[in-house]
Amino acid sequence: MNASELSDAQKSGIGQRIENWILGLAKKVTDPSYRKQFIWSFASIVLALLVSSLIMLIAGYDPGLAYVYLAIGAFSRMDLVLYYATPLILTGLSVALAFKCGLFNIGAEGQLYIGSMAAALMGYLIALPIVIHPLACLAIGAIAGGLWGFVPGLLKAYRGAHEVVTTMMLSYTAILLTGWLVSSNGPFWDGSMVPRTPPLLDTALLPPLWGYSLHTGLILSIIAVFAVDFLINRTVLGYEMRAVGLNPDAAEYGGINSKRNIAIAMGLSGGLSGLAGSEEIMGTYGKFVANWSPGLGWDGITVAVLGNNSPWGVLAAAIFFGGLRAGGNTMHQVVGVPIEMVSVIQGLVVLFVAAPRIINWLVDNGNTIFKSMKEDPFEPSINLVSSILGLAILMLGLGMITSLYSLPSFTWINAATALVYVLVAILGVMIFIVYWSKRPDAGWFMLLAAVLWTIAGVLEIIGAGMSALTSFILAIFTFVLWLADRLIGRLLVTKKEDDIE
Amino acid sequence: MSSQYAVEMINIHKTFPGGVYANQGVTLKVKRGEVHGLLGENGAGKTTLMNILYGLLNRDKGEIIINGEHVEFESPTDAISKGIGMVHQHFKLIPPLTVVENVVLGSEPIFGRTFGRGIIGKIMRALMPIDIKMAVEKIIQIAEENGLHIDPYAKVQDLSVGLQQRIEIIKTLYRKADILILDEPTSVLTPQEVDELFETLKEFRKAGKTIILITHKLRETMALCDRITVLRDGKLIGTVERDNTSPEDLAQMMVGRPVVFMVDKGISSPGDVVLKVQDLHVKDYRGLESVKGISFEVKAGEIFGVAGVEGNGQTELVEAITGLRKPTDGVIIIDEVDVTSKSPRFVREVGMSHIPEDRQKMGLILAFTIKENLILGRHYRPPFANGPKNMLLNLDRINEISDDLVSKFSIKTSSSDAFAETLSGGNQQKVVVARELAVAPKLIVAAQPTRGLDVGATEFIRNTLIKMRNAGSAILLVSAELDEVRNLSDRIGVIYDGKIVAIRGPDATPEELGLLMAGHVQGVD
Amino acid sequence: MMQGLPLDLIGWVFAVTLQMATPLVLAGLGGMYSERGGVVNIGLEGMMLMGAFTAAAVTYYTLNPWLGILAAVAAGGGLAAVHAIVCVKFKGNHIVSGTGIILFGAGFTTLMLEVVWHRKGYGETITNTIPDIVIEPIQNIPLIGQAFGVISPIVIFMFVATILSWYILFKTPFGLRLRAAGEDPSTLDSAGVSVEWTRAIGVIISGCLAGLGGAYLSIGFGSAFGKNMTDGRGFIALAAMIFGNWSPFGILIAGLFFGFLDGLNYAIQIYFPALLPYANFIAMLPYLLVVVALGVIRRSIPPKGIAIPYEKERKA
Repeated sequence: MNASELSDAQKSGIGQRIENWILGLAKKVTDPSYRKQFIWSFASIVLALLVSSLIMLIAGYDPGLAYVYLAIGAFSRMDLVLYYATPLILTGLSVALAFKCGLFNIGAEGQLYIGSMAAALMGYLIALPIVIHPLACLAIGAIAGGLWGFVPGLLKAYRGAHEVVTTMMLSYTAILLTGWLVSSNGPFWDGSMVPRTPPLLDTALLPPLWGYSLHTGLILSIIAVFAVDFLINRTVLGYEMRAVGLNPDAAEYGGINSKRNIAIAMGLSGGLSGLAGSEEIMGTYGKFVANWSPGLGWDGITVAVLGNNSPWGVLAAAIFFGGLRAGGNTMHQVVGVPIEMVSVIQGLVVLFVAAPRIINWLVDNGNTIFKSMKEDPFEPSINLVSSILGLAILMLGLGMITSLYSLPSFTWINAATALVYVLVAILGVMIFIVYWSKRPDAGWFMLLAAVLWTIAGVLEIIGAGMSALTSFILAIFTFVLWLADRLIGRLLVTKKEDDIE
Repeated sequence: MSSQYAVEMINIHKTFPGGVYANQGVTLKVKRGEVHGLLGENGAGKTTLMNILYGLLNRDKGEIIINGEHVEFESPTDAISKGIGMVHQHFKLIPPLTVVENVVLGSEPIFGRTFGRGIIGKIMRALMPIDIKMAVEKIIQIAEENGLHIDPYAKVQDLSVGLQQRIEIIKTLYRKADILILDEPTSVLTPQEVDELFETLKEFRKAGKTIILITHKLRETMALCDRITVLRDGKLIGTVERDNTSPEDLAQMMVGRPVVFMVDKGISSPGDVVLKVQDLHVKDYRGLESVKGISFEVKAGEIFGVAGVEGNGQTELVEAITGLRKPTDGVIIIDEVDVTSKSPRFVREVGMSHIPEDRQKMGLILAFTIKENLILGRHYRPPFANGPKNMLLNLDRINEISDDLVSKFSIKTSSSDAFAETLSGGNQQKVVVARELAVAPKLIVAAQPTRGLDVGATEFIRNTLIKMRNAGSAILLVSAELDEVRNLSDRIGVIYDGKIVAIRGPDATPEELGLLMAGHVQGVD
Repeated sequence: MMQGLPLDLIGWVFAVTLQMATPLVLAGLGGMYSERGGVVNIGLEGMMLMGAFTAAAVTYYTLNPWLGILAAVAAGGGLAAVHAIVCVKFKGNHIVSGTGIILFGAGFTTLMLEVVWHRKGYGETITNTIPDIVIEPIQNIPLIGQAFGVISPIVIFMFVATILSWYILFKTPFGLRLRAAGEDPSTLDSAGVSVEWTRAIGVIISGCLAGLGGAYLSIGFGSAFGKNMTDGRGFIALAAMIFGNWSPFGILIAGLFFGFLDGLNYAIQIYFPALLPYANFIAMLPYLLVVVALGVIRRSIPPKGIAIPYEKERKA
């Protein structure tokens, strides 16, 4: 029945095929495992932004304002967002493709340099007509990058050399090598003060697409998304790569030559990175400059991880990071938060993505708390209030440290106060964890917090700080919560004993 | 005050993440000083129950009472402190470490042991030098007292399986265990080693130790146990005295219906030689020669069984024939094509199908869908591939054929798009068998085809193999289950220490085969 | 300079070798603790940066370099604790988590550089760096006089740490348990030892050592914190660990070797200006050497259970 339907579809032309494809896509999107993945990624971003706001607090910035301008920056300059995303899509695909074959291409950066160098040479040394010239540059860039990835692939396949180490080492090699080639001692120097090549011929440049900086490379990047998706899911080679990546023993058993696939996968992965580099040189820089890349290869790893190594996920993740970067500029200009905040956010996103169970843990424990709230509101409310207080303590502790910066002189007393606040902040996290997971020994943490706040208050008075009152109020508050917790604990224990008897 | 029971586990429930019930209300009571058999098929929940007793797993519900005292085990440390020791089926030994290091792991004796119980004491204890000399003396003492001789400085990876088991037992004695749990201890031993083990266990019983023996073998249960508890599908079926029961009764309790011990397979009509192995030598992954000159032939329409205790070269023999491992010497010919040292794909192209011994490690890609698994090995050629140079996957045909196979081999699943890891063990094996047998191969290499499967799946797979034989395939069956080899094979080759020591007909008695498997070849050849 | 005795030159190279090797060996030993326990730690770079920054910042505020060292060790350990929580407690992917650690470490330290010193690139020079120990008697011995006559306590600690690590790894209960956790965690579990804690402690020690290595860069050998000042040393340390076959003395030798290549590089730049145009190639040498060595020499064997999260509740 099912089978005959399908063969009908096969017969009735392209329209039906597209419909099938859309149906398949819809099925994938509604699939619970995909939805879960999406929720995880989304929750990771939210958590990362939360933790980042704490870091901004330490650094003395206003996280609310910063995020507002981050968002404004991102949404008002979509062209810039896509411009930043363009190379990230390709480097992300590069890392993701290698991942599919079980390989960790940590050296996308080097492949990008080699590819961009080759494209630049092609672009200014050889004259070709329009259309053909950029295509030739891109091709040569992809091939050069591909070779730079193919070598570690071969070493991995036939010599067992770990690709994390070899690609990394070749990455540094590539940066140094290209740096020399365009230096005053190298053959391709343009003679200026800057180590760079002469500008590319006009025929080799990628035409602009939209706004000031976005170039046609974006189209190429999106085509690459389709191509990689097709390669992975619809071709024999993609099937074999995935098999090698998921279970090399079974792949070998199934007659798949895993060595060949590893080498090819690394080659293709390097090619995509090389393409990313070529695109940037031809669309943005117009010449090869030593150390030009702002870590596009590294960000590719992040993009691949956030996109769960699927081509469409990579596209979404690249656009998200493009947004962070574009918005980060605005945030920097308006609120003064250094642009590095963006890489802090990226790092945190990756950390949360690495461990989806953190989100499970939060959700599961949250569910139990809210569920038991209906049956018996007292105990869980204490848990809930305490966990929230834990987070508040964390924020306040960190905030207090920044208030110490502004004191006229930084004395030993202030240093000690800062230390107490650091401890308080750590305790705040622990309070959240123990209360959220309803551990039986949770109460003592509250008492400890009360003691620490008292100490902090005393220190503030001695050191002529400004937050003594806040500290004492919090000390009282935590103490009351501890009492409440103990009291209810007692009551419950006696109640249970009554039940047993 | 203390009851007559050493161990009481009452109404134990355990569900694994993912909703698999392992134990449902199981109650087990073991008297002090007895050998208690815990009998059941693979997957009946025996090991889970014992892992709970040993503190490795947490139970969902139920009580545990040791020597009359209610206990809560957070980790094996707590169980060990109550005198419980466990010998796992898959030995918990670390091959690159020495015997003494393996024995002391987790309860290392140290120089100067006067540290407090607090956290500082804990750190100090972890950082003091291990008193290896004292540990060695203690091990030698235990070894002499119990007749378990071993070289404490040898590395575990250099020792035989029987000796490794000995280390495991010494490990429990070193921790002063008086309640011993042994999980399938005989599955990797020769009959002679089994006898030795049983003697040791009887000595322990005399010394007043309590022993729980997990097994699915009726013969052992009847030979050694005083009382027997039977589990099936995670539920308690009953506890019986050995003297009031029979193997037949136990078998019925185990599987829930009378067991068919023999398969009716009809007479074979062998045709041309399909597989020819000549003087084959193969080295294992450590570089030691483990196949030492094997020659045999398998004809079309016959099942050639290879019987033997595991680890006598079967794995390497199969890997050499299927192209997964290069032999150092010798010739392999399949259907008049020399396939020696050829790639797996080449061997498959000649007409070989392979049911591997470890379906999860080798036979399946668990993170692939059933569909994707069903094309593995033939994915690169029509009908599964099309387009220029067969570079594209023909998804329509793949859907069609895999749906067909799923129904033909009655693989229980919601859809052929489900991931292989969601299937039960039996259905996973069915996927492997469906894939390998769907193409009418000339030669089938089946290694441990029914390992770990329930009775239904076992019967299905055995019948399928016989069907293939009758359809004219040559079948090389390698199995550690002597009954399986005897039931299915037309001829039986016995492998011992990398050599085929004898070839017998299907009418060979288990006693004779057992002797041959243990290497007693004098006067037989 | 050129007419200096070759003996002096060699002695100078020795001295630079020791200085360059120290952060590598310390971080490499750190990586060993983590990987012997079964947790891949590619985040060493981030942890070193964290240590370098914290050491500089704390010394800047308190004017006490020893407090700086302590804080650096704590900061490296703290960042490693995050890695441990993600990898061990929440069974995350080790490499992904390590990538996050690197990104976070690099971003956070650069951010805080601006916050603390209100400038970009490099922080203010720190005057109270770790004082070198002067050992008069050996100061004038040729060859080793320069290297060991005036020596930083952290360099001495590098040798101590190597011996100590060998002792801990192979002679103590903790070392045995750590190796067991890396080879076969289920065995350790069944021996009644917590796999999670053993692994987590290994990872945290790893961060502490990497933090110390970073501190040496900012307040031992150098005297300020700079943006991304580790400059890939975390990865070289990782390579040294693999080269040294996950064993303390192997790591020491590999680290010294990489340090020597660095020293050679400086020597050539200073004493042989004719070769200066090719400085990039000399700098490339260690990287290429690693690739060639890994590709040609027999492969090294990592602990068996590495990068595999240990799941207790799995059906056998």
